[in-house]
Amino acid sequence: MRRLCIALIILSLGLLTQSVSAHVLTTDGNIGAVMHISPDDSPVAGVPAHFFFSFKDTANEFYASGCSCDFVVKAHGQQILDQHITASTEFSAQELGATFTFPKRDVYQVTMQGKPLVAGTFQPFSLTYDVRVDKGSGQITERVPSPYLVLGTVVLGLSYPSWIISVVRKRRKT
Amino acid sequence: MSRSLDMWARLKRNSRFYVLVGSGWLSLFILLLVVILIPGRTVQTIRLEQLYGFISLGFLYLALLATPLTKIFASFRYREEYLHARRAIGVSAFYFALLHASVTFFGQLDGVKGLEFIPPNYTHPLLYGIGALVILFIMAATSLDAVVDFMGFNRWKRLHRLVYIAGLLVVLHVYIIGTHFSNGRTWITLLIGFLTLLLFVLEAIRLIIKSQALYAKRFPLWLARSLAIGIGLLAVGYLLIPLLFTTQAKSSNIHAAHEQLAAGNDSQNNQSVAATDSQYNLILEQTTYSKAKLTSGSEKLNVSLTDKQNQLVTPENSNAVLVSRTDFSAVALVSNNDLGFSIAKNANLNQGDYDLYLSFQLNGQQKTIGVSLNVGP
Repeated sequence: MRRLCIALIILSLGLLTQSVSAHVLTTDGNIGAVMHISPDDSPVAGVPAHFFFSFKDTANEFYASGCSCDFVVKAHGQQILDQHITASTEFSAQELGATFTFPKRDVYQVTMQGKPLVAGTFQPFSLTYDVRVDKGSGQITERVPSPYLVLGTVVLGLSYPSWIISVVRKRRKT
Repeated sequence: MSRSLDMWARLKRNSRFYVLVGSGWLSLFILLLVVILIPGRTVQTIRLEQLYGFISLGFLYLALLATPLTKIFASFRYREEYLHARRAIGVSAFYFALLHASVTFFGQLDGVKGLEFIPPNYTHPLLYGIGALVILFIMAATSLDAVVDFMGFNRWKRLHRLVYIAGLLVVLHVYIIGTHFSNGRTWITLLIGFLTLLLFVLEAIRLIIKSQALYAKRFPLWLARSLAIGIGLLAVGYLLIPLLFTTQAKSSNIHAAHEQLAAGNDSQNNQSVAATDSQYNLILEQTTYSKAKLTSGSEKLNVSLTDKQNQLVTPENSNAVLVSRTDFSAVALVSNNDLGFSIAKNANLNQGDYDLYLSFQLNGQQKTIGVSLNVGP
């Protein structure tokens, strides 16, 4: 049983290597922001997507109402939106929100960039996030998973339940 | 060889073995499913983090449920197997919590480098989660028979009561930071709320039965039963009152303001919207317009301009244009009095998202500010 516990920990470390470079936290110098998208972190083409940015300035100088911020959306390097963003009373002093309706399924780069309204109060920043719109109308270059991976997943998916069923059947017989 | 076979035969009779193997299998299967079914690295990472977190929560719940369930329903068919597997269930809760935390830390928060950039409103719920993870680690590390023998059963049991604190920390963590808990009335919030209350009720009944058994004279049965019924009614009332008497249960979740704002924007998109540059704010009276009303002239696009002290300013030579976000076609606007604009005759206006760009002169400066709006049917 001890070996099994150690195997689980090793497996967990192995699985960790699968999750890199997909950050919802992006930083630029002193300033970083966590981006959250509604609905469900997965925007739908043709439906308004709401973006929420929670900022952290390690120099403690950033405040949303003192920022001349722009929300920029690009698709394949071409800019399709540059919207000025103002602070909202619905949010805290370190939060900003923006709304955009993605026209079609595609991969977009969303940038929140800002500079202080009063020069020198905080460091200008530009935070870029990749957003993949997978639902709704339009075409997107589909990434077809390897058939071996699909087969392996099906086999793995069936293996444990069928093993458990066989064990239960054997126990009932005996 | 025979020793290995013997060990294998013993393992096959041990319910803990099936739980631990099942946990390893489930984590791999979920990883592969997410990679196959969900395109896009960011959403894959978010879904993995959420699924591992939910599964950890499920295992922790099963571990906490074991004592009250088997004490109250002593004739429960799989009682012995369930109680025996409890330690493995706890180890699985830690295993999935570790995966959940690691995907969040390395996959979403940029690892050690991102620590100093975690926004202040995320700090507390993350600390609750880390606290629960540390407790679950202690539970998992001391779950071996050798440790129980070394510590002595009573000391070991006292240590493992920390799991109740872990449960409390997990509930706080989930309710404050979980994106699925930003609205108190979603099915997932209600389900987890119901299961948590059920656990509280079962624990309360168990403790009442235990107290009754210990202090039967001072703690009569009628009092025990009344207390159990009272706690049950309170729990049901706590769940039902928000459902019956409010339109949206209040939530202390950090995403609640986001979700409510998003819902408000989607359902009643008629509030003013503002855009700003370094000197002026451009305020559009409403954000959603009707194509039919705009083209017939019965609806106008009313804007106002303020300075940074929120004082209204009157620009000179202002003119405005609507630019479609879909095909970038421009629609000229006709200026009325007081910064009200209407659609030019014969303008080709479609439904969709537009940006209104206002160009004006003020104090000798030429300025352009854009603000977004939506044109409906």
